[in-house]
Amino acid sequence: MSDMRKGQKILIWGAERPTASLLAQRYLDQGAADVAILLDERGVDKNMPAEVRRIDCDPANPRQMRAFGKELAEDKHGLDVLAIIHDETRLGYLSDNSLDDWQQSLKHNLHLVLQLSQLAYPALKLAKGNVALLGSIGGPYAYTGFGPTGVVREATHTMSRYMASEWIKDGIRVNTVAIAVIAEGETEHNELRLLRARSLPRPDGLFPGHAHPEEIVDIFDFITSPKARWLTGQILMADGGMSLGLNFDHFLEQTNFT
Amino acid sequence: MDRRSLEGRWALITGGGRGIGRAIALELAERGADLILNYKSGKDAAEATAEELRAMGREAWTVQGDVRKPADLDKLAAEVIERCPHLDILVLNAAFGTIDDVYNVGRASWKATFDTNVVASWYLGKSLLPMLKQSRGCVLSLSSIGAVMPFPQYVAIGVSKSATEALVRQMAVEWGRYGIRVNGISAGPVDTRAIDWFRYPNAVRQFARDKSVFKRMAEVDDLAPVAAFLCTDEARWITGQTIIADGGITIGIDSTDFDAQAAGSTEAELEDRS
Repeated sequence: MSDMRKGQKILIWGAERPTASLLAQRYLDQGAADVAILLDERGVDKNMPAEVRRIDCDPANPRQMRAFGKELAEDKHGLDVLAIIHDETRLGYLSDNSLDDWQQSLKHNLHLVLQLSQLAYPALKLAKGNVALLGSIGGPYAYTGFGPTGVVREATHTMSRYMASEWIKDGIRVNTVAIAVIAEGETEHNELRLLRARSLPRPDGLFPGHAHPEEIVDIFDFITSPKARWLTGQILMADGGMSLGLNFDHFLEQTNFT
Repeated sequence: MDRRSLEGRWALITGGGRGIGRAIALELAERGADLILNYKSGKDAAEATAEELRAMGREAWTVQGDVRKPADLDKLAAEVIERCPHLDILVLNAAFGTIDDVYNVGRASWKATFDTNVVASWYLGKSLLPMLKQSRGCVLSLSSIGAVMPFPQYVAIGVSKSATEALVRQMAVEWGRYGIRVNGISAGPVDTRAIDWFRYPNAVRQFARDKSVFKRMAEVDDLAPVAAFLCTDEARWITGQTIIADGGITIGIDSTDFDAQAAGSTEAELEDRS
């Protein structure tokens, strides 16, 4: 327990993810006065702490967003942290993707992220708050079969740089955590086995590039804390080294390179 | 064998009637390519460009279509497949963008920017993939340095262009097995009518002149040869790359002002700091 977030107000989108429950608990443990999640059609992870306030607002619903915007505007404290870990992963080869794959990926991973950030901006300005977004290593690096996911996440990365550059005058910092996969059980995508052979194996048995939820929570926690006061507009590659290069072990074994 | 030649190759350029698209068309034709020019609204300009290309001895025709609309893209692809003996070069040049800051950019224009600059690029590439496979052709996508460096009121275009650069990498990785190369060109401000869409066009022109190491603004003819190079066999070992052709705007910081100020410092000031 610490009180480093005493009195702070936190908003999280992506409540269906186990990672969101851990993140919310972390903020509560640090003394946050109000940790809230947005309730969208995906529901809430079963381990979400009871103290976390549920807000009936799906960012895809303009009427609910207007109502939530009013609530935010009436709050004189402002918003200290906006953490978005919501994700719509659409995989598959570019030659097989549908228009709907692209539109849904753009809507959830970019358009609605912008709209929620715009809605929260006055409150973030009031508290000189932080924005933490979710990105993907598929943005700067192309992986076969990543479909629209990597392409759209690269746009998220760039949008976070624009937000950082325009909002720093208001004391708002914006950073992005670019992941490969979070090992969250049922939400883990089977297709992401594509990634498994590409990097250094983890000593704890997880597939390469897969993160434990706590590992991602630690990074979100840090970048939204005062310790990261000199960081803004950054894309933190949180992939266990997956994007550093290819794992050549198999190749070396085949060629008897010893 | 002249690797710079595009003799006998067919190229489709979206937004090919004027501006950068027109300059690329003329450069490709100069190297021997035949062209299909897509345009949205500038029929006269597109027809005039096609006429210029024919006067150079090339085959050239125009197709109207708004690339933001999938039905128009279907029509464009169908016409290319029906009329073109083969397609060797696809230039994704058509673009749309709204000028505003992050907080104020509107939903409809934001979405329209992505539908034009990102979704249409993927969709047209996918639609013409069978022809590009057959010819082991190449794709070229136009980008902007706003994809890597934020500029005021440029968020919609800059962010969408970073997605197109990621799409270039993704296409290159997936379609390299068919012998298809996919590359991009990232430009700084270019002296076209698009500059007048900015709220402060003169400021953009001044910025471009000041920040380029050559102290001038780019002309469309500065970009066209780079585009043509990437479409020739000279660039056969380059794929998945976005070449920055910005007159040096993004390579670093011009310290002239700093140097002048430092030169004006007195010995006493320097001693104070030590």
